[in-house]
Amino acid sequence: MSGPNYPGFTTLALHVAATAQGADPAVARLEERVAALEGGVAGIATATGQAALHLAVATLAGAGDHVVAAQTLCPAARGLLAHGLRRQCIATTFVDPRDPAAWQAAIRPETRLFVGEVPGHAVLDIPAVAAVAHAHDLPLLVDATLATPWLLKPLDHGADLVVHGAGFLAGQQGATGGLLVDGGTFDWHAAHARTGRYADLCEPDPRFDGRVFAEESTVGAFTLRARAAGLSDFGAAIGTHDATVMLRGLETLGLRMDRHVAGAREVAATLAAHPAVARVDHPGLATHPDHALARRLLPRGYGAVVPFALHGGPAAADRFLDALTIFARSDGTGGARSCATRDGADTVRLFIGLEDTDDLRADLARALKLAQKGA
Amino acid sequence: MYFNVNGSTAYAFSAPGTPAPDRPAIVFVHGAQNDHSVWTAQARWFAAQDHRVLAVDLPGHGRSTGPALATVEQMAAWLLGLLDAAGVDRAVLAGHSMGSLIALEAAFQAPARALGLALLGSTWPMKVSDTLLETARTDEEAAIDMVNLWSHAGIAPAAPGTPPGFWVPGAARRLMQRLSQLNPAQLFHTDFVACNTYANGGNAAAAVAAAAVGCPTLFVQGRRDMMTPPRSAQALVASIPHARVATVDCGHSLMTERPDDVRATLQDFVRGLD
Repeated sequence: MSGPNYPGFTTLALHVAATAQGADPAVARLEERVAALEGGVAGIATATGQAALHLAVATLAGAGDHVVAAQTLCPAARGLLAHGLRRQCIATTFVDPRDPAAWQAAIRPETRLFVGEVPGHAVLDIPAVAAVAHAHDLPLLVDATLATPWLLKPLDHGADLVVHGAGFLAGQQGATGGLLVDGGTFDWHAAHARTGRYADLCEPDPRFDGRVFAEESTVGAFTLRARAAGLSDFGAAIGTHDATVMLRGLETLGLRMDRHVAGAREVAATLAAHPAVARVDHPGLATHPDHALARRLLPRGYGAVVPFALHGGPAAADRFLDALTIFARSDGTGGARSCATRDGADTVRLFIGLEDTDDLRADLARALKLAQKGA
Repeated sequence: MYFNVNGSTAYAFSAPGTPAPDRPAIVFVHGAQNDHSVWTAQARWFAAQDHRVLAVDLPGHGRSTGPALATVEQMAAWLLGLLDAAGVDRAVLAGHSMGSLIALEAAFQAPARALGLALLGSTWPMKVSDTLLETARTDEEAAIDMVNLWSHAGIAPAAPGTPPGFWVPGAARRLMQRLSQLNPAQLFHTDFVACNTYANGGNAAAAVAAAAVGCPTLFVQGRRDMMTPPRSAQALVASIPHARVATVDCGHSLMTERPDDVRATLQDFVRGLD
């Protein structure tokens, strides 16, 4: 059949290669691939990593509910919990991620979720914190943006939900997008029966014709609810282009992460031996308090982040940053280019890219020298 | 929806809908180490089409309490008890894998109650290798991983999953792990032994269940099924001469691998019953 004489042709022609149920094929592929890489049951791609975290919290908590989170979360996530969600009456208690007793002490009757991050300044003891969470019928969400599934699969260690920002998955600084992965490990039905929590997942929902998500899917209820309600309500869906960028990036994830990690390890060692450096917070160093835990959780390496403190305080840190030539002055992660940013008074946070490590070390040594000279 | 069957709590998923009296009820029976949720896509669709649907959790599986039953004959009798408790006189019995043997046996035990039989991923004898039986007994987690690998056409995401974003083999694996957690009493091994020892299958010489099946019967086979390969089901299929055979391009986990194809096949079958 050809041409405009075929009934409905003008409309049908627009449907060619469209997919069933309106799902975007690039987005659906991305969601499944990351879910598979994490060993979870399903993924939801979002506009940003921040949107993935928001979607997770909004799916499980409402006004009057409470979250316990690691105080070492990245500034954006900390801001969302401490300010953005507090305005909507979801309170957060921040705790030392190293201390399972602190997590336990922060639990209230209205607590709905634990949120941690790996790797950070302090390494989240996922098995220990997950055990505390599960003993109180709470799920543990881990922001694994800086680890990627290449370095760490939080679900294997007891986490129930994982979020990612686009950076390392896409391999491009400035890439936008995020993912929320459902591990399918948390038994919402049992937690609801014991505590009454998570009624949105476990009781008939009049908004959705009486659907009960925990009955429809024994292991994927969270994802069904998050997609049907949260993704549609808040609208933070990912675009096809961003999903495609991440899909392409994923193909080189292992190669890139190995290089990031190797560079970070060498840079951390170089800095640790430098007289102008007061402290290096990279868990790959044997002197880091979480080194043993990091070796256990992150056998392939400790990520691309190297935070360190200079002698000479904030002024020296600023002079150091000004003197860098290879490192970009930004905090974008995941790209090929290394960058450096201030993190607190005298701490500098380096993200190690994919450049020649000798070049990076030379740039750092020169900048450190200039920073000390100005004092 | 919860029922009382033989003094134990029995659960069956009944998706939202308003059942019409002229539409046949459909009962979905899951296989070994699974629960009702493997049938969700089909159950929701038929419920929306005004069919009464009951996707059961077998005893000791998911939300149904009590120890797992040891034989297919006991499971079939339990299923008929559940139909009594639910007030369902006659129904289309749809079963997957071990569940297909249960549906077959229930139709044999109570021929008047089966409007039709839909047997997915079925074969007889449903032999379970000694290695897998032993692994299920000694290391359930390892047996789950073996079976999950053999139950899907591919372990990596191929076609987009349903619902969107689901990695189907990952969800299947997690479901089996959940069933282990909920019932640590060697559920997988119990189910496998039941499959392995079910004698009342399709050997024509044995004057058995399949030969006695009088109701319309549909086989749905996965072209790439390694657990119950279509070739292995030839004897069973031949013993029900009026049976129709439909093939779907997937592995053993037909309902989750190809939910729409399976639904459409069942839809044709159920429509043809009128």
